Amino acid sequence: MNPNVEPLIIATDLQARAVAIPVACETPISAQLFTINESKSMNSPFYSELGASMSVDDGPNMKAKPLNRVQLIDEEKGEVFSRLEVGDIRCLWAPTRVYGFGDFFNRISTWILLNKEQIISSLTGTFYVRIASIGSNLQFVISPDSFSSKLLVH
Amino acid sequence: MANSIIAGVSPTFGLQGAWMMNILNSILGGKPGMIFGASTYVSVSLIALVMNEGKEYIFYALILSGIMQFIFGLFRLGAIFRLIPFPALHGFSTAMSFIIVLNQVRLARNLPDQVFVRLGFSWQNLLDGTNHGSWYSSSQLLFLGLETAISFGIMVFVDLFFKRRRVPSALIAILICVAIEHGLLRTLTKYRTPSIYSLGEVRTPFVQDIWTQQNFSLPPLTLDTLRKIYVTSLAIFGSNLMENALTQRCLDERTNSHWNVNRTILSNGVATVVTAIFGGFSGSGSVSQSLVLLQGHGVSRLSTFLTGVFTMVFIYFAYDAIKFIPIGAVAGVMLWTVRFLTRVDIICSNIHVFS
Repeated sequence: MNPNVEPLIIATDLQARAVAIPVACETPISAQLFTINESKSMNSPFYSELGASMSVDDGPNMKAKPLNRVQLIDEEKGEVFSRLEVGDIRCLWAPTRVYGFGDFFNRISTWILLNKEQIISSLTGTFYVRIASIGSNLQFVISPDSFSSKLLVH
Repeated sequence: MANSIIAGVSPTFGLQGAWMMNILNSILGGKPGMIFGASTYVSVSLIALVMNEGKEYIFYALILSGIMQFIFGLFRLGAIFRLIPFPALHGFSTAMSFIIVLNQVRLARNLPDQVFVRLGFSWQNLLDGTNHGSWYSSSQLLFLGLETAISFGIMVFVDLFFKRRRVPSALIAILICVAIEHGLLRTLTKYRTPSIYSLGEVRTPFVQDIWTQQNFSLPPLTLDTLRKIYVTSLAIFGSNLMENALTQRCLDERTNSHWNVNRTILSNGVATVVTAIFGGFSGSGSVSQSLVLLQGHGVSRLSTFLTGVFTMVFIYFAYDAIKFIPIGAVAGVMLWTVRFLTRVDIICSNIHVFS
């Protein structure tokens, strides 16, 4: 095991994972990823008043922000591995053996539990995506009421 | 004014574009939490091409614009967006907030938007109610307004007094409005308000590439075709660049994060090409749709990915599950999300300065 890597969450088996996950769930997922400062949107100075846009660098030498990874330890093998942080598509994907159906469903349920905010917000957003998409097509003079390929032109 | 009906394409292609764009962008590295969808600017850019050359050319134009975006992102030319000043971003945000509000007004019209075909014609038509569309009846408008107000009020109440909630306020508002519409209004009275179903029942074929679709006979890939589409492609390229960059900056500021705009543009370029190949109308980042996710703390790449997946599921397999949602509920949600974009204090200070 690499002693230089400090584990954030140690989840090696079902019992340890069962302990670790509820602790992780204490903090809202959004707070783990980004801090959504509601006051920033509603009350506080905007953009730190002009300064923020000047500090943003998208130039040729700018590298994309690396994906956040969480260090984990597989105690059986004594190896350290990392996985993507909660909220990413492959978050909670761990390259370790699945110990039966229980472990499999435990991982699935844990994934859903950890990402429930993302899932529910996506579901909510989908309602508007449909309306916006159809509205945009209507602007493109397309008849909304059929699949018979009617295009209305004045 | 004479109307002619010519063969065209279906709104299903817009919906196909919406889910494909979101899934591809979330995988290829677009801004997390940013929703991509059909863009008004793309639609407007394509109108002239369709009317002059024919509908078959739109997909080639979209593919060419996607290639342009890919090259732009590949060479990391996003640095030029540092030149966008704060007032421009603020103006974009404020203008988008007005557009979002006015878009909700459009939902009060039956068969709303053919009138938006010609620029400068829309507001006259919106006011006098002529040509292809009429306001809903007074009773429908009354209950539509009530549901919008209820949805808006629920959003305000939940957001202000239940800050540590797990369920997004938007979902709460929509569910309550569905219950009011179908549990009270339609059951106890003869009145009903327009729902998503009122926008038209859209039957969607599954994904098929444009070269094998029966609806189109694509022109040959020649220099003459390129000459016909390059101006439109440039317009789409420019509008997508600006909308992506400004949408991302808005989200960066509101989520207190930063994402490389080159990655967003590059991934959007690839997604545009792939989406157009499979017959979808591609677009760019949408502020209004992204704000709905932000409302529920959907700020990760997973939320973008799942929005694409849910959209695909709803249009192919579970359309019946969402067609009963009253439009007023969604309009109320959108009116409340406008607060993310509008800074009343800055507007007032600007008015004070100019006065």
